[in-house]
Amino acid sequence: MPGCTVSPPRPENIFTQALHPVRSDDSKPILLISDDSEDVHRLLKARLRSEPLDIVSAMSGAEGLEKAKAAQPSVVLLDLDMPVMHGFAVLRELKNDTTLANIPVIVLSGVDQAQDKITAFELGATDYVTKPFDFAELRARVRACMRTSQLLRLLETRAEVDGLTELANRAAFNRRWAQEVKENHRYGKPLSIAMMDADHFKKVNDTYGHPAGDEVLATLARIVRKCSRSSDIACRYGGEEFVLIMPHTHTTEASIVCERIREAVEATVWPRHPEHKITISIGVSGAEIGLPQTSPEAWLEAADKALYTAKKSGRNRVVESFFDTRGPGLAIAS
Amino acid sequence: MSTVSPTASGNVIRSEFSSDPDMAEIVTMFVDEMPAKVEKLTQTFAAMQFDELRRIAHQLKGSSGGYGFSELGKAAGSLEHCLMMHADGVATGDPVTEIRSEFERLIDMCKRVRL
Repeated sequence: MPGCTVSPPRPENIFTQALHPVRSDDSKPILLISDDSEDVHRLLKARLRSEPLDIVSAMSGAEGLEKAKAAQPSVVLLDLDMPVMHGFAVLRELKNDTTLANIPVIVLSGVDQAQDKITAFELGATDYVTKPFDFAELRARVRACMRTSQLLRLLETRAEVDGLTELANRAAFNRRWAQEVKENHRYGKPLSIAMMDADHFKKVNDTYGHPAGDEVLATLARIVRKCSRSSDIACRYGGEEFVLIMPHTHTTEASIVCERIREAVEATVWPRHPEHKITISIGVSGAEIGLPQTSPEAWLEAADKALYTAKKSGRNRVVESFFDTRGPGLAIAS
Repeated sequence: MSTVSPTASGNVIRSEFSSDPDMAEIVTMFVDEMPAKVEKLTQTFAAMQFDELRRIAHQLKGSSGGYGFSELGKAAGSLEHCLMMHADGVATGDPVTEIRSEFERLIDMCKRVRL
């Protein structure tokens, strides 16, 4: 009996397995104001009162930087002429931080000089407004930046998601896998990965057409997601291949998850071709301890070899490979 | 109903945003804080701390317009400009006389600010 059931395909939130923290839908976008003048904060709060955004205030450059990291604002209003940490220094730091670099920054300045504007834009500012500002105009500029910010966030997410299956794509997998392996090296936490491949997938495409093949892939993705845990990261590796990263999971535990997936795939009745069952072969590779000698590529290759063994030995099965504690040797047990 | 201060030399100056409900609260704060600002400006001028005077004038220049007192902002801007010219040695006249003139003009306006 399969350990999980899968309902028919329906549109799903692509953020279910988001790779980056995504703010919950009920909170408003955040506008961070970094300015040393109390008046500016007061005036902007009054003028932006009716806007659908939450305002976070910082009275210095250093505080602005700190709050940007903590609050991940959608837009930053940044004063240039601040004592101790000048606005340009803050802007430089914001743009050097990969988690903050895409946040649009509107520079506020009392100086209407071309050189300052050039520097601001060269450093990555989105807009430049001189004081005293017209508040209706500033509000319009904030709105424009909010729109840009939303599109950028959407793009960032889209760039990491596979269109057909809505799983993390290959690029996102590569990044995340490298990160998890690094964690394993550093902290010695268990880590497993599974590589899976639909058996005889080409036959589905050839016999029932590509739309049927696409539906199989989308459904397989849903099964992988549903049968794994929320901490696991399911990715489409390419074609009919999927990978499942299982942080803090040793091989035995990973195999149980994979067996659940295999059973659920086998038990699925396909609306377009109920007479044709689909099965999946899975190779698992995990470690209970840190493996500082093993690169992400070598580790993945071990899972791939286990998958190859699963295919060779009759398909529709889960094969484990595990690293020997004495070195990066590979042992395969089926 | 506000009363005109006996020291004021002209008409009262009202905020351009006096009828804007979003602004009422903060314009009131700005007006209420004006006597303290006048006091601070006067002390700073008396002590001839021109750098500090320039900083206050700069802030007033930036904020006054926001509260709907653009004329006040311009006066603060003139004082700032005058202080900068003298600090840079660009101006030719007697510094204290010229700064005093701009300073007094600004103080006069500050005292006429009303809701």
